Formats: sequence, C-alpha cells, structure tokens
Amino acid sequence: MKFIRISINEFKALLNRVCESYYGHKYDFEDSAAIIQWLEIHDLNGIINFLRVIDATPKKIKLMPIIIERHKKRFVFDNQGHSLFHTGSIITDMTLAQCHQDGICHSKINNTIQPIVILHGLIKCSQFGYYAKAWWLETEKNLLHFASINPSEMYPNYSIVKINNSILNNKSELDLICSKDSNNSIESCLNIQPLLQKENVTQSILPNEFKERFNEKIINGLYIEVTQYKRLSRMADQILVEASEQSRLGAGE
Amino acid sequence: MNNQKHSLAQVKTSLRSPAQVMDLNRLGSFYPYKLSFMRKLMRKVMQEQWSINCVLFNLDKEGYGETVYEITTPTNCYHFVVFANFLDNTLRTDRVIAEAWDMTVTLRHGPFKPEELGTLKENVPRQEKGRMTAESLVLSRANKSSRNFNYVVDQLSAGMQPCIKKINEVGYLYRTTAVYGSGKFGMADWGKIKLAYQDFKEPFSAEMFSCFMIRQFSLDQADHIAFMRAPELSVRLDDDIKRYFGIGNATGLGMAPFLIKHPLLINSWIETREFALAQVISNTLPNKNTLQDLNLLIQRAIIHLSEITTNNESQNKINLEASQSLDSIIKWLSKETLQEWDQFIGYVTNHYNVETQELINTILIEIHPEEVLSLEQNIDIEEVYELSPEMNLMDLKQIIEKKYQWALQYDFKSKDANAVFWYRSEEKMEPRLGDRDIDQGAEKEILIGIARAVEQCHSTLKKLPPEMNINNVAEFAFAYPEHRHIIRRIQTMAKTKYGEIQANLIDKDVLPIHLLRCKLSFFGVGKFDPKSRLWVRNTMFQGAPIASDIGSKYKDDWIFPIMPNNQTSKGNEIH
Repeated sequence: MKFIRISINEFKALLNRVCESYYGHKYDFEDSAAIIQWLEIHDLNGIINFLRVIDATPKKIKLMPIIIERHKKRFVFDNQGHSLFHTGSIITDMTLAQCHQDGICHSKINNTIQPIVILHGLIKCSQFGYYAKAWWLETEKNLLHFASINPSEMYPNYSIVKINNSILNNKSELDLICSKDSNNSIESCLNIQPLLQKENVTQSILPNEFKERFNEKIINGLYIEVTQYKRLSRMADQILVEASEQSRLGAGE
Repeated sequence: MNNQKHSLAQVKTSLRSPAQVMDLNRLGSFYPYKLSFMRKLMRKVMQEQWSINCVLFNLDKEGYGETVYEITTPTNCYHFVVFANFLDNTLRTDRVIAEAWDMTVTLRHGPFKPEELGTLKENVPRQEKGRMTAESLVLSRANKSSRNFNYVVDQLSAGMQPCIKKINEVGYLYRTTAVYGSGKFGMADWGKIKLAYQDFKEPFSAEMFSCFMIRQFSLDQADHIAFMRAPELSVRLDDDIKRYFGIGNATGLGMAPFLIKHPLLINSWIETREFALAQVISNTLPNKNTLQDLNLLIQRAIIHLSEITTNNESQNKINLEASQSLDSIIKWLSKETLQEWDQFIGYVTNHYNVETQELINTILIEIHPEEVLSLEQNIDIEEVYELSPEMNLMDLKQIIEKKYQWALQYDFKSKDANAVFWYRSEEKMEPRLGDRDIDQGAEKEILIGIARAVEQCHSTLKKLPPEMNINNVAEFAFAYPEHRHIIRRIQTMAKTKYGEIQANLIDKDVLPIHLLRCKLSFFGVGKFDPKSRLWVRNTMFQGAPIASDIGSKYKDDWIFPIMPNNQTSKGNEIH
C-alpha cells in the first residue's frame, strides 16, 4: 500500500470539504469532520469507517435519529441503522442537556452502527464537567467495548474485553451514561462490571496513550493510504465551482 | 509620565464598543501598529540578535540559481532556501492561479543539508503541486517588480544609486503572491510550530519572517547581478535605500474567509489593539515629551501618506483627506492645552472621518511603548466552538438579540441583502465572489453569511410552535440540525467582546477590500494600493532593518516609512 503524509491542519481542511460535500449545510458538517479527524489521529480508523458510511448511506437521506422513549434521566433513541458519525453529536447533546437537568442521563441508542464514534462524545461530557461511560458489544467477535472518562479530562479510558457469551442481546445497541456524580453505576452498567476483569481485556487505550498518538501526529503528520486520500479529495472537490472567464471576474481579474 | 494607573477592570470599561470597532468600514481603516506581527517579529529578531548567514549563493550572472541562508536564534537553527528562476514576462501574474514565479522559497527547521537540495528543487518551485516535509514551516513565492528591478540593477551596474523618488513609486523589488504556512502541503502544523519551533510561536511570524528573507534575497540578488554585469564599475545598494525597500504583496479574496472562520482569533487580535488604546487613554496623560512625539509622528504620517503612489482614485482621495485632516489636527494641537487623551480622541472623533480617527489611535499607541509592549505576549487561543446544549432557548434568543442585534437589522428577503455568494473555484480553490443572478455555483457557497445564518436561526426560534415543547438548545438542534453550527458560534462568541465583523458579507455592495486591509494591518502591512474592491497590493517591511543591521542598536520606529532623502532623522526620533 502506498501512503501520503499530510499534516493535521491539511487533514482537517480536507475533511471539512469532504463533509461539506457529503452533508451539505443541513447538518453541522464541521462537527462531523472533527469526529472523523479525532478517530483517525488516534489510530481508530476514522477514514475507513467514514468511507464505509458513505458507501452505505446515499446522500441527502434524512439522517436524524428518532426518540422512541423519553423519561426523566433516560432516553432511548432509534438511530435507524445509520452510523453514529451522523448523529453522535446530537445524541451526546441531548444526553448532556438531560444530565444538566437531572444530574444523570442514560441514553440507549438502538439500531446504530460505528458506535466507536461515542468516544468523541465522552470527551465532550468530560469537558462539561461530567463523568461519562459508554459501552457496546461486537457480538460477531464476542467483544465488549467499554470507555469511561472523568470530568475535565482530555481522553477516556477505553478497553475491549473478550466475553464468552453475550449477556447483552442487541448487537446494535450502545449505552451512554453521563452524570454529575462519579457514582453513576445504574443497573445496566452494573451488569457489565463483572466482565471488565483485567484478565479479559484484549486491548486497552489509556488516556496517556491517546495523548501520545496525538503528539506523534502533531510532530510527524498522518500517513494516509493514497487510494483513500484520492477518494476523499475527489469528494472534497465536489464543493468547488467550475472555473470560467466569468468566474475569474469574481476574483478581481 | 504615568500620572494615573488604572486597574485592569477600569481599563476594560473604557474599551470601545463592538458596534463601533467591528464596523467593516472602520476595520478597513486600520493601520499597522506597534503590536502588528511584523513589528513584533523585528523586535524579537533584533533583541535576540538572530544571525542570518548566506551558506550557499549559487546564482549565475543573471541572478538565477539557488541561495540558502542559515538562521540561528538563541535556541534553534533554521534555513531559508531560495530558487530564482527565469520567468517569461507573459507568465508573471499576481494571481494565485499562476504556475510559475521568479522566486520560490521555503523556510525549514535545522541546519542546511546540501543533500536535500535536490528534493527541495523538485518540490519548492512547484508550490501547491509539490509536497513538503514536516520540518518545513513556510512555502512561498514572489515575482519581480518589472518597474523597479531592472532599473535598480541598471543603476547599480552603472556605478550609481537608484533615484529614491523612482523607487518610491513601487517601494519593492519583489512582490509575494502567496505565503503558505500552518501545515499546508505537508508542512509543520501550527501545533508543532508552537511546541517545537518557539521562535515562531506568534501567529504568522514564520510567514512574516519568510517575507523578510524574501526582501533580503531581493536586495542581495540585485547587488549580485549588478556586480556580475560590471565588476569594476558597479556599486552596492546603499544601506539606507535597502531599508527603504520593502517587499511587495498582492492579497486577494483568499484572506477574507479566514477572518470569518476564525472569530476567536480575530477577537484576540482586536481586543489586544483595543486594550492597548484603552490603556494609553486610561493610564497616561499628555505631557511635553508625548506631545512632541505625537506632533513628530503626525508629521511623518502626513509625509508617508503623501508619498503613497496608487492609481486607485478612491485610495488617493482617502490618503489626501487623511493627510489634510492630520495637518489641521497639528494646528489644533498647537492651540489647545490638552489635559487628557480623551479630550483629544473626542475632538478627532467629532471632527474627522474614521480613517483619520484610526490613524490617530495608531499614533497614540505608538508613542506609548511602556503601556503597549506589556501586551506583546500573544495569548494562545484554542479555537473551539462548542455547543452548550443545556442552554435555555430563551437565553439563546436573548444572546442573539443582544450580541447580534446588528445581524437582525438586515432584510434578507430583499434581493440586495442576499445578492452575492462566496465560493471556492476549482482553480487552486481560490475564493471568489459571485453574483446570484449571473454566476454559477450558488449551491456551493461558503458559509460566510454569518448575519443571514443568525437571522435564520432567530427567525426559527421566534416561530417555534409551543406544542413542540422545545426548551433547550440540544432539543432545538435535534429538531433543526441546520442551525447547530451557527448556535455553536453564537454561544462561543457571546463570551467575547470583538470577533464578529458586523457586516452582511453577502450584500450587493459588500467591500471585501476592508476585510483584507484589516487583516493586513495586523500583519503590519502598509501602503495599500487597491486594484479593485477584491484585491490589493501593499508593502511589507518598508523602513525595517536589513539583515546586516542585526546586532546594531534598534530603534523600533519604522512606522510610516518615508523616503530617506526626506527623512531628517535628527529630531524625528520618537522618545
């Protein structure tokens, strides 16, 4: 595979154009670009995942989730099979606002793909001074993903745990808890606590490891597969307007 | 003498209002000032005594080839690489869409390694089409001033200095047409520069330094060609004349979206300038020395304005009016006994236009270095525009009505208020302005119409059906995701004083040139020569020290540069 090295700033500008092209101005395209960027910079396959999304989701489809249940301290969203790339920020916003009001909010997001996007949402919860946790299952591999963060931290603790059989049935469910107190272990969270034994952890990323990944990219930039880069560039170019003699007048010629 | 030191809070209360400062016409009247980036850079270079040595000077008799300068600062080492090429006159253009240039350059970290020259030669002259390493800070290019360069070389090779009046018509030998930094084309990210190359941790200082080096090379190259042409007869350019040569620049619409997309950064720049002014007014009183400095600097500004050469009638009129206003201010000052600077500011505000007001503000800041240089340290701005989802909708509405009142005054149903759109051309992504009735591409417009976006959000808020039971920002953004980006901005900017340019940038009569001049003034650029409402030529570093001045005493008084033969340096110094 051939790679191209680009800077973070260059990557950000490229993703902004890509997302502007894909989402248009009907959605907060810069926010979506920031999520892809965050995942890629921290070696969590932001680009690959996003390209899968756009392969699977035609442009201009309504991407918003539906609230199927709303109670005090609790939401249940139906993400309608969409990627969390499109809706992660909006769902995090709703959870945060509810937590602000009730002290805690547990959001269950059904029928979603690419739940890893929620790691970015956890950081937002932390920046607002809250504790946050999220978990989801990767049933085909018998893996449980779990992440947590304390208030005012830059990065979460993220672990992937091997489990023998699924105690959580729905493979496309994601749980997010945001709370003002550290004691936010509501029932569903308690159910997974026994699974998070050290010996079961197959992979983990600690906050300082996230930071190291970021620092490495700041110093050296990112290496992106050329085919992916070209594809993103082609998408980004769709926001450019064809040049003509008339258009050159618009630059002061 | 500082007769009355006020607290930070007191100074803050005397800051000018955003409605006054952020008016586009006023922003377009800003002049470079004491804390402009070039001025800050030169103070640093001179105080820290950076050394600039030419380590490779491989130019042929026509001045084509490569040159490398090594720059040593107290903590680091860099090199500046120049490729000087033949350029057919027909290909010489200021436009960003050009493909070839007289000079292409790069500023890189570390000592020069000759083995890297080949790779650099393959990439630097290609500019946007090349790739740079993560150790590169800046990539730029410049074209010769066809009027000046040959004339100067002819004169020098004939053993004569060039006529200063002829030089004044242009003021530079080369004109930059793009200066790229901050991670473009694979170069070092701004984050890396702040971390690893702290000599350039001030915004745009690496870019400004590269322009300074382009100027230095232009002078060295002219001397070299003259010498090669007539080794026995030629003379080197006189140092006073070298200092009078700046480096030209052509700036187009590319700069304008930057001001809109980085309001937190702009807030910081403008707040610093306003704070400097407020501090001078609050903390100092006119005295014999400062009044003398004021008088001298106004006189110098009058000469400076009269020496600006431009074919732009409007700019000529502005310069002439400002010059006449300054003249009458001097007369007024000679009759009045000033007790406070407020009294002076009040008189100028009541009697003169915005251009003159900002000139006077610039001068007042300039003559009070003790009040101003304490603000020199740049505050590192983390540009995060985060949504506050818990905010009550009524609070959001009130913020808009209080902070964005200016945006709600436009009638976007009228054709004129929505007449133009900004877009990126497929030609090097050059930003351009289109007319909705004429040009193609409105569906791809850049989100630069902040006033319209705010108005649309406010309108949705006002018409919100009660049965939707939407109470907070999260719920609102959930129901209307198209407003999320502008709410993030509104909420973030509500915590700041300046930052939002209070103008409708998609109005039929929008004058983007004001945006350009505002940004250029913070860079330290002067001698604005507008070529249309969309682009402007200007001059950087005119009057600034040259490389051989480093190590000498530095006076930091090159504001409003004037022709050396007009400059009676005795008695013209600022105290």
